[in-house]
Amino acid sequence: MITYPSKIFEDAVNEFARLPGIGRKSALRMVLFMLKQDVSTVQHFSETIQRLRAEIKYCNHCHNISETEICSICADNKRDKNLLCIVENVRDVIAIENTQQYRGLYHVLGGIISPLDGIGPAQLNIQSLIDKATSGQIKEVVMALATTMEGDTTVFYLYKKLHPLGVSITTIARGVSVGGEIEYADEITLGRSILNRVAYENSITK
Amino acid sequence: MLYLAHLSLLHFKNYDHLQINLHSGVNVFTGPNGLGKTNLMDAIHYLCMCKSFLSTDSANIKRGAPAAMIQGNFLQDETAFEVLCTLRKDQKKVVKLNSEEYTKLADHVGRFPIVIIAPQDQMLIYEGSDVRRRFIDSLLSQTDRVYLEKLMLYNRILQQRNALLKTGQTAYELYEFYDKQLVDAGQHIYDKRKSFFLMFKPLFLQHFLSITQTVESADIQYQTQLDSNDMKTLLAQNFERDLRSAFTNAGIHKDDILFTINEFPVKRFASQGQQKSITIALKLAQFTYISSHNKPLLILDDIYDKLDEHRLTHLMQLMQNNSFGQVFITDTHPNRVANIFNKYNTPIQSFAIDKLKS
Ligand SMILES: [Zn+2]
Repeated sequence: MITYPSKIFEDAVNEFARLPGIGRKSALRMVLFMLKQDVSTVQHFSETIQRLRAEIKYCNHCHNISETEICSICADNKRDKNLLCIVENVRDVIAIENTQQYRGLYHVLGGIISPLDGIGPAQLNIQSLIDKATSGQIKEVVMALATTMEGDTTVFYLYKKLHPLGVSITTIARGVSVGGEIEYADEITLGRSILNRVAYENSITK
Repeated sequence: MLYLAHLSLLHFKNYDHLQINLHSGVNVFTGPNGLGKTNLMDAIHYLCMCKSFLSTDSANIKRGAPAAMIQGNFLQDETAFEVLCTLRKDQKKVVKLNSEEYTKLADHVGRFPIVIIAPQDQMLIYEGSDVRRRFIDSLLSQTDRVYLEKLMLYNRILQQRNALLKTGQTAYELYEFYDKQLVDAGQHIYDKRKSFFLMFKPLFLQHFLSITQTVESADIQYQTQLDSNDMKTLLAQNFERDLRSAFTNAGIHKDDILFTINEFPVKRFASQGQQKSITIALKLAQFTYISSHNKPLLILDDIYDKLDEHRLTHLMQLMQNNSFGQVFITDTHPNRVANIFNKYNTPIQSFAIDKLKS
């Protein structure tokens, strides 16, 4: 067991060590770095983190992160409200926005269907998606989910739910990235695969 | 011909550090039990199959060490290959071929095939059907890449489907998707297993006959629900039952092998000797089968004291006919194996395990 020169110091190390991928050694390095900074710099740092947790909420429409009830993408009048892109998480929204090729809206599921991990349709933002489709404002849904078995499961499930509602379903061109995680695809490839999306019916009957 | 020319270990099981040059023919390791003969064989198994034939990865890191490394230099027709396998506590194991990391370990399996004959082969007769399926799977995985991929997909979907059954949810769209995938992969695996048995059975019978030299008629049967119904029908028929039992009742994950001698099941009616003959014939047939693709390394772990006259003669005749490539033998007795090979005028390279370690 390592002993530290002060209790306050030790508490700080413990807090940093909570972060994903950060061990005690790295946490110690970060704490020593913080100690060397101006008081005002560290104050700004901790205030930013506090505001992040206190003020960021999830958009009522698309479940993207937002500072307001409705996020800036959903509130943008220039965007195509008939087109909806389905993604697993907020990181995917950021990746697709960075391509600057997509002008529709998003719907963040908050995960993909994997009963093994305790995630079924009820654990995801799926009912709100079905409600949107039922209200008739969506013409096309683009599925931008990982090309894993679980991603495919989710796409199939959503197809079965949305297709009867008269929504046309497309998927981004498959083979976008090796690992199947769209956030790792490079911007040009990802942008092109959104522009060249294909009808889902074609991809299941092939 | 394929062989392992050099093996080096770091913090693997009871080994701190080991470097050893190997003979392209027969390598014999002698020494008392508990010194690490079988662990050395397991290291060779790792290089070929990316896993232990005895235990889990984390159990193979020497106590107190953060990681274990197994490195092997293979030679095949003058071309050199370096395989490096690294096990770290609580981390994904890494396997590299010529310094390049595999993204999927399945891509390595079968590249350097291996067959191992060991006392625990008896489990093929006594234990549940999963042991016999693993025998077929490990064999076919080494000769058929697509088979291994379909099998991994099938198992993954089966786990998801069983997890869904346990939740009691009636999400029919999900069952529809899982079943479609299970039908595709399951039917493929069934076809492959079926045609495999057609080829495998005569090889098995041939070895069994050579070993026993008797009139006893042995048989080996592939037992599967898919003989009577296809995978799609089976899933449909069993769906209500699956929901009740929260488990997928039918499919290729229920397949089995039945061994008989004179039409009696070996499990209940055969003598110990007959059972040993069956398992050795199985393993030798496995060797012959894989040899038609690429001659495997052969490990004979701790079996020389259990061979009767007939089995020993058959094995040594195969050695003399050059049926085998590189062979690794372990034995507790310091001279037993050497004496047998002398009698057959077959050269060997001997290693005393306690000398290796010091
Ligand atoms: Zn929004």
